[in-house]
Amino acid sequence: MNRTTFLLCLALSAVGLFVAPLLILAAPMEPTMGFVQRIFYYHVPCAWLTFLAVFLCAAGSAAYLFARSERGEALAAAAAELTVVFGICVLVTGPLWARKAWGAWWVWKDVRLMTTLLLWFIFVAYLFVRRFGGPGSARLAAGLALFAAADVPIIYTSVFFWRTQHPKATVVRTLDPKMMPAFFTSLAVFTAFFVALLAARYALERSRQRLDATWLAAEDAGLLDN
Amino acid sequence: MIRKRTLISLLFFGFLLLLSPLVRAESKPADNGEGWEQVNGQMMQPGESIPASTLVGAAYGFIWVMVAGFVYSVWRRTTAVERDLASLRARIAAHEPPQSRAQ
Repeated sequence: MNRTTFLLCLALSAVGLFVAPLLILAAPMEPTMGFVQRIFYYHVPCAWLTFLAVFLCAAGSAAYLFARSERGEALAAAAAELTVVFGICVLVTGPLWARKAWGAWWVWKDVRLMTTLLLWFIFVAYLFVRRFGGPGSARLAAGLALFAAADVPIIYTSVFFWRTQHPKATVVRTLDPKMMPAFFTSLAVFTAFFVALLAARYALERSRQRLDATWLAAEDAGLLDN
Repeated sequence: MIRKRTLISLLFFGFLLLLSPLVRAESKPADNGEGWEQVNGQMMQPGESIPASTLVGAAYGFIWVMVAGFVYSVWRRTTAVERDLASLRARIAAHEPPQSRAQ
């Protein structure tokens, strides 16, 4: 991503930071759940971005494992951190809604909730492996990311295959048309911000790769032996 | 380095400990023969003490705190890597090749 696109995404998200809450507050009140339903407007975008980050991490990991792509590795590392960031947002905003709607912060028997928590833990493990795994940890983490990605379809389809407390995935399609502007604005804002964050984190990882490569080249040439 | 690792590990296990009270907070499922009850409007808590606006605000605030923390972390790490890269390049540029030293 070039600098212009990055700045555009950052500007979009900055504007959205002010516009989205106004639209969310102006959206019609959901009759059953009342005001707390408004958490939906950012819980769902966070969930969508978590899934997107997982797939980007898996794609980058596959490129690294099978084609030794350094860019793939950088993308995977950047996307994995964003999975953890947006994943924890999903795991926290969901219970805040559930406390009001279900009368419980968390339902341990719910497959959707538990598989999402599992996904988050796998990505925390991914970051730990990368950080503390020593030599070869990047390949090990890449393999872990591919297995973690298999959890996403299970999370998505869990509401269809198991009886879950969590609302069905059809909730967006059946949304009141008057709620659509707030929802899609929020979705666009979060996505723009995600792209900007991903670009920044990706650039950091590429710089780190350049630093490592320069260091090794200099050491091999005997330039660092004093 | 060890202290930093220890700190990260402690933070992680602290988070796990924070999760444990949620087990107690789980409501007991209705006794409908299967131990399962689908969510419905009647399950809303009429005497709920936490205002919905607090929950909505907390959720929105949490997201932005997390994202701001991430931005700060990326900014700090980027600064450190760029500083290291510049320092390494300066070291390489200032270094005389081993051949010229031998002469």
